[in-house]
Amino acid sequence: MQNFDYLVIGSGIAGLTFALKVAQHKPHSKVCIVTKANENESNTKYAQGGIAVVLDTILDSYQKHIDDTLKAGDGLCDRNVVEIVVTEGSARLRELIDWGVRFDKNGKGDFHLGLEGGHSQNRILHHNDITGFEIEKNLLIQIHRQSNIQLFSSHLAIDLLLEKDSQTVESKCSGALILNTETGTAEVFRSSVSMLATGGVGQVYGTTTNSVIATGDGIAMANRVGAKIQGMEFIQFHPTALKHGSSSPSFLISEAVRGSGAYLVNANGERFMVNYDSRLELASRDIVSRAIYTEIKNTGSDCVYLDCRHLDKVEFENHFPNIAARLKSEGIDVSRDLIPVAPAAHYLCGGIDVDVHGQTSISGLMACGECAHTGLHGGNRLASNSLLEAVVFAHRSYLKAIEIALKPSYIHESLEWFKYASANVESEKRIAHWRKQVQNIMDENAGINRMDKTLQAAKVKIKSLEIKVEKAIETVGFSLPLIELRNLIVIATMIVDASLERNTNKGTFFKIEFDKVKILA
Amino acid sequence: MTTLIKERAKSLNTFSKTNLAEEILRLKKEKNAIILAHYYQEPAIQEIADFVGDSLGLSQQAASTDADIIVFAGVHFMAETAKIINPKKRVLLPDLNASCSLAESCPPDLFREFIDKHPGHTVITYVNCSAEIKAMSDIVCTSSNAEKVVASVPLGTPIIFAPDKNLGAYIMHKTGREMLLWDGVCIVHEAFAIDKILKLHQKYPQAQFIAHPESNPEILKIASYIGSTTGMINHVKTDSGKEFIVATEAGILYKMQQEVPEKVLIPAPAKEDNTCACSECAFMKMNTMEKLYLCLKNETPEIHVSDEIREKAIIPIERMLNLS
Ligand SMILES: Cc1cc2nc3c(=O)[nH]c(=O)nc-3n(C[C@H](O)[C@H](O)[C@H](O)COP(=O)(O)OP(=O)(O)OC[C@H]3O[C@@H](n4cnc5c(N)ncnc54)[C@H](O)[C@@H]3O)c2cc1C
Ligand code: SF4
Repeated sequence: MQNFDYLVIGSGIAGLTFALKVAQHKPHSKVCIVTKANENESNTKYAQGGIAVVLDTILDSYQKHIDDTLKAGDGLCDRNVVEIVVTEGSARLRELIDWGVRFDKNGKGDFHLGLEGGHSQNRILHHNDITGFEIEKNLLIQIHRQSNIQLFSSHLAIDLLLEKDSQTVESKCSGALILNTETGTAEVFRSSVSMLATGGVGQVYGTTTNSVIATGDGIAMANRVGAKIQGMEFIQFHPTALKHGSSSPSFLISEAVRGSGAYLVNANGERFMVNYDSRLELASRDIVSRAIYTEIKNTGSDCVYLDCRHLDKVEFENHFPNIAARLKSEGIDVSRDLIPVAPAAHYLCGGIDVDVHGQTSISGLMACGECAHTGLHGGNRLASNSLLEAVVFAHRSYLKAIEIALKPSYIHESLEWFKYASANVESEKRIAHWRKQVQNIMDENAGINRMDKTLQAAKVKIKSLEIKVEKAIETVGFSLPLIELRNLIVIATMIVDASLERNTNKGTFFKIEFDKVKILA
Repeated sequence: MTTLIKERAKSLNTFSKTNLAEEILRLKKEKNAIILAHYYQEPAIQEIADFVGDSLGLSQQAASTDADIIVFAGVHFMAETAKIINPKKRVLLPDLNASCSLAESCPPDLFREFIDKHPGHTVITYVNCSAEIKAMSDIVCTSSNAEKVVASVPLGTPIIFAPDKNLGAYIMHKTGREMLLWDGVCIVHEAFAIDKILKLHQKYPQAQFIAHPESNPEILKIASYIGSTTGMINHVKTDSGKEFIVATEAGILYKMQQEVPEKVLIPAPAKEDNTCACSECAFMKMNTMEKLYLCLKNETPEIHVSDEIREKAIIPIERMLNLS
């Protein structure tokens, strides 16, 4: 058993920012970060486009950013939270810059502000097209400088610990059970505050832009201890993931490529967005995704294309060096060839319910980043609002966390049972196969277009799989893939249940039964 | 939903030392209980059961027993059927979550609407459905007597068949009689993929392909024998063939192999990799020796069916039993 003051689960932008702030302001506290893969493996690392912040107050304003966010959220945003995030953004951005994160500037020395779908103004700060990588790298440098932070990579959180507070009889989270995936041993990490910063759930789908770590562990863990969870039916599909081969994650062709003027054309070479939305290629993601989905169905092809042939090649390569390099390695020349793309699961708008201080419904347990549901995104996230949300809420959570003076209880927990349970770890192949099955079920039934009937079928299939997986534990024992699989099953169940329950089409959510406005095709 | 790992591990631990089989046999005697096990149950459960059979066989077994307690090692609708036939006896099911995807594909409220929309139809339901659905039916059937049951409906009377659309389509094909089919499926049987079966056929060209009528129509098209679980066992026993590819639950193979040790039985592959045992019904497999033991010991979970439903549901069941 190890004792800490603060336990942070996850080392993406949310976990690292929170840990860094707490550690800097409480130099005598012990802060621990556990992360299940390499320290930098995260969705954060893959973020390309950038971070939406209102800096230019001549053309842009807080109000415009607020309006854009509310519009994307389709009536389901918490207005108060939207205002908080938008107005506190610039202060958090300065901190990132202070920590060494570099954002691109234009010739005049001002920040270069990109434009993305759903934004009425240019307001995306970025570092080339590898913004997330730049942020992750610099945050880690800061973390390693901080002597009161211990970072454990290859440490997987399996479950949260709940304890009854002896005075209030309220249940309180008092840490987590952590598996060292290199040695196969488990240990209890106790803490007075636990922060879930475990990121998204993209891996519950077969086609996703999300890192392999995005298996929704934090949300599943929170669900098992009874924390309130909301909005699981709102999955944003990114319209344009590269459709070349079948590797997971799928490589993302950033929205900013369309922002800089690329067209979308279908398999017949027609520029189809004119049939769907007056904003054309820059309509919000769900509209573009559904349009692409419809075009793919109608043309019987498995993708549509981004057409960049009319763009300046040199400028394209300067602005999108990472994308350009990847396309080149796939043998695609943007000045001559069309880029094959299709929608992929990209971002979870819902998650663990938190208040404006990052507090979940369980005392001692906080959540931040993609795994949290703050009310900012509502039915759909506005592009580049998620990195922003992560830093704003990491800051707010930190202010709250340093206030919580609860001391961890030092009860010794015997882990004898775990030794028995993890005695026989094998059958990785079978588990990998089951993971694929969950993904297939979700791709087929809980994707861009949903239907009650197929959702119902999916529910049965997932349940059937769950039973098998639970049985497998008897012979297989616990391992990282199995823990992730169990969590994916919980996530899949939550998405399907929430989808069955919702009976209006809002934001990213679309059920065929409720399609009043027929899509022009 | 999944439970905390700790709880899960602890429950695995509890029974590692007890000799479950002995305990179950002792309790069974002490409480005058019988254990009815479906073919799809795990071998250890089949071994300890008083009767092993398919749904019809077991529901008749349930009717003729003088035990006080019936422990039904199967899925929920089967235990419910046993309770309907034996209202005075206590019927236990080791795990109440052992449902059936086919039964679940026919929710009572939607089925009620469906019937109301099509008045004047005789409603035939396959036994894999809930007591509430049976209560809305005119006659129940199993896969072994479905044809007979359909034939018992006077020509000219329109028929609704539920919940299995594949079984329904097969019967329509066999009897030449139009029926209105409820759109329900068993996900276990759906998992059989035709392409893999054809490949297997190439590998064992001598093998006969036999299938349960609930399989997909495509599979039924190429099967040389189609029948219920009992039917398939008899067929394998009496047929001169030596090799059989069997499209049904993998669990049935255990029983079949015992009856015909000299023949080669090859399980038909499911869509998925065979190692995943996808062709086994996961719901059936929810019952374990531990749960069986606990259920007998604590006499719970028990199956209850309200009098109102029971009185309506018994009629179509009795009609079926009288036919067979
Ligand atoms: C390809 C791509 C492009 C994107 N582009 C943008 C963009 O331009 N702008 C924008 O705002 N957003 C973008 N996003 C979304 C944004 O990147 C994420 O929402 C954000 O990075 C989430 O940060 P996070 O800290 O919450 O989670 P992550 O960065 O995903 O970090 C999660 C961490 O938790 C760890 N973890 C998970 N489970 C466990 C466990 N059980 N035990 C221990 N550790 C665990 C992981 O290993 C990881 O370290 C993009 C996302 C993707 C996938
Ligand atoms: S095999 Fe299918 S029909 Fe039979 S019990 Fe299982 S789910 Fe129900």
